[in-house]
Amino acid sequence: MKSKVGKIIASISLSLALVLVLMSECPSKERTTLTPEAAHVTVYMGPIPLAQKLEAVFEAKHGDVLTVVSGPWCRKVRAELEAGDIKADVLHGADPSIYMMLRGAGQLLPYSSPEAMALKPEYRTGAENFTLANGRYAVIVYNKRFVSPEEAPKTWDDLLDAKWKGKVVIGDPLLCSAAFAIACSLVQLHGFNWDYIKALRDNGAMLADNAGKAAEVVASGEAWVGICVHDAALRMIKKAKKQGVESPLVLVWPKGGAIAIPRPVAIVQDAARSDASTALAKEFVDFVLSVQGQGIAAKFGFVPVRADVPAPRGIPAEFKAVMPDWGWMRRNDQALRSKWESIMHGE
Amino acid sequence: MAMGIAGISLLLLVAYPLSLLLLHSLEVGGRPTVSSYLKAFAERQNLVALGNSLYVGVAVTLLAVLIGVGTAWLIIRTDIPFKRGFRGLIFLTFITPPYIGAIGWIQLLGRAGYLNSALMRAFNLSAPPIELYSLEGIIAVMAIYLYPLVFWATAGVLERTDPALEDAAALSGGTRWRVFTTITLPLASPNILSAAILVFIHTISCFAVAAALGLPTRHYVLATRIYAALSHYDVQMACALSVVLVLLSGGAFLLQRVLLGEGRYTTITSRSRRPEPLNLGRWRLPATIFLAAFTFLTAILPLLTILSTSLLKAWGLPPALGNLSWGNYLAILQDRLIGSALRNSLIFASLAASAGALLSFVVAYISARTRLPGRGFLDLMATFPLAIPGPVLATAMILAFMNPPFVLYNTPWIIILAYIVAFTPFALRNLSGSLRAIDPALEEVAWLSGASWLRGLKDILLPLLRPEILTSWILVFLMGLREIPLSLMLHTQGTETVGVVLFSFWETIGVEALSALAVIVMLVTLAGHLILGKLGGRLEVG
Repeated sequence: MKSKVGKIIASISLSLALVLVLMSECPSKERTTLTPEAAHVTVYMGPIPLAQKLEAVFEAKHGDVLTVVSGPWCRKVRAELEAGDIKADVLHGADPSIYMMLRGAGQLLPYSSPEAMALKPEYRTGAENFTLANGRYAVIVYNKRFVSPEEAPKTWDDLLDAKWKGKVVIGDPLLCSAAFAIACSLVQLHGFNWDYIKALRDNGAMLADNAGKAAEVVASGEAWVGICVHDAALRMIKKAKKQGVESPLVLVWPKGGAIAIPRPVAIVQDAARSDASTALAKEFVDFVLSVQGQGIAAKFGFVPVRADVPAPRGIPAEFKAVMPDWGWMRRNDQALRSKWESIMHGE
Repeated sequence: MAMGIAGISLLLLVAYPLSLLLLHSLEVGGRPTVSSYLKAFAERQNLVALGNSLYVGVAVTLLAVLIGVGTAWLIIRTDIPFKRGFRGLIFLTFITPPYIGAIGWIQLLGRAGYLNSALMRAFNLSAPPIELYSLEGIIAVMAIYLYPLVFWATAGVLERTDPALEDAAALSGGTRWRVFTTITLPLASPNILSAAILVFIHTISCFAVAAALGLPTRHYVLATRIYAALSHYDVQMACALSVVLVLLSGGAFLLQRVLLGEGRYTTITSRSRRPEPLNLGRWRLPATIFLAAFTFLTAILPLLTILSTSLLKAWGLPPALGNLSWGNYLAILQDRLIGSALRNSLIFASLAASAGALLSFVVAYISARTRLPGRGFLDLMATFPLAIPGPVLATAMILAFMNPPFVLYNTPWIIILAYIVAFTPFALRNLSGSLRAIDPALEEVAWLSGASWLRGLKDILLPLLRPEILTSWILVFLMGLREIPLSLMLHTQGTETVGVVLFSFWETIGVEALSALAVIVMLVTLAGHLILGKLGGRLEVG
């Protein structure tokens, strides 16, 4: 009588398995269109609408050659590395810190794109393992329902004004690598002095779980001013305009310099990849850096890294920017985090 | 046989990935070491977070039990009106995803929230009088979100407890209260404790609410510390801290076993009849008003907030009529990914729900009905993955299923398996208490009368447990449909889920678009719930 149960369970598992097998036949690019020799490249990139657009335009020319895993991929790549092997051929997006980590682990293929010659000088790093592909900047945002343009903060130091007590929001450096870069740069901007962070703490700075979320918090009025990556705020303003209303968010490009959090692109080291695929990966990197690729990213709010592509609306023609010292942050990651913690939670 | 299959699937799905994770946490730079653990405990903030997690976990559990048992008693055992309506509202409380719920509560109770603004205007205050950004804020929001789990578990047993026991106690002169505390509650305790464990473990591993309400005032719990470690690419630290969460949940699990002991909790016997509802008399109106006010505040108000947000033309505008439109819903219709994402999520979540319900029935049966050695371990193994935050669990799945012998990465399978591992605990904790409440004599009689083992199961046990099995199914389905972190790490082109689109809307458009899609997901869940109700008779959760 027990074997009957076994049969039932076996048949249920079998039918489940059947359903799954049927499902795995649903059109997945790898299975339907690829021959082993054909060039094929897997790209991890986000955000999704930008990834979809880049894929569509690239494939219109090259055919169905990309598998695009769109969305945030840092944790995914970190887990794949832990499991032994990164499954992506090209990485695009996030911020330099993960590329520094991967470069340190010998995971990135050096490549200098011919398009890189057209890069503005401030985006040339000299390093060939990854290329800075989109300009993204940490700026000040404020909510104009609560703050007038006259009293709005104009410099980083204005955020320490007592009138913003409990009303400033910044991304949490512990939870977001871009927010980490912002906090470290603020220290760097103040001559590697942590008093700025102490003053932020004393002003009751609120934390958000990432550097883009600050825009959401300021727009809602939970905080009145904040530090956030410019594209998040720009997209919210643009969306409101499209809907015929006005977003309460206003961007301020601080006098001391907006903090650059550029989005790189890189090719992953993979000995097993065919030459044709590697060539295609290089072509994709070229495409991201090309006039066309930069134009697509600009529509999404990112600042082009080359001079011959106009910046999106909402970006001032001239602004001062500071580049964080990514190497210093990478080398001192643990110490900088501990210092931040001891200020924010101790003392 | 069944034990073998359940055991093997748990070993493959749970023990294998998580032991790989453990191994990786014990290895830095290729050498075996416990340095990650030493480092984890050397950081004072991790200890603070541990204390916060314990405080929040215990407080949420106590509150959820209090509210869950109280509402269940009122709705099931008294003559309070609108029972179905109240049950519906309690269901609505739970199907609101916590990441949206937290935003809704911020709109209501945040520093610029409706209540604080009104109070500041009314009393001319310079600072908001209510501070939602605190551990207590997390506790309140989590308790409201999770008490329905206790409600269902308690309602299931109160509905079917043999009133003969209570009658006997009442006849011997016990007061109503005494009967309730000495007879009814102890009989329901396996269900209540089972749900309490679920609430505790889910609370300590939940990131969304702790991040939204704790971070602004720099309060960390272990779950936020784990995300922080991952953000600095420190997988070892994230694993080490996850192990702490697992140990905490293991402790809660053991505590439950000790509390229950080997007592008999059979409340459903051959002579069972439905208990008569208690006449509340002059307390009926106050009780009704109280319950109506409570469900209005905890279910309807947040939902109205979410609905109005989903109609906002832009986040940050007040919900005035001129600022509302169907634009966000139209944007969902135009999204290129949403069609396939919905299809994928429906398939993945329903497969995971079926497998989860089956697996949890087998595990619950073995644990309640047999004396097989290792049955407690089986139960524990199916439960503790709930303690591991999504990104860490996804990391474990990648470690296990990216390389031979099991290459499932970049197929739909890995997402389905992750859903099964992550959400079966909901099904299991929901079933295991109820199974204990059913007198084994019922099946034994069937077998004695010549029925096969399977027949006894099919004709006696399954019909009695049908409401719980369906509830289990819908719980796993619901969690799978709306989850974000597992999908984000495990999807590839073609296997994107609703969770991936939810995240994308949030990141690239804003809270209003996220809310609109969340409303759609909630409607799909409600539809699934109604269909199941039609198929399987009345549901416990409705």
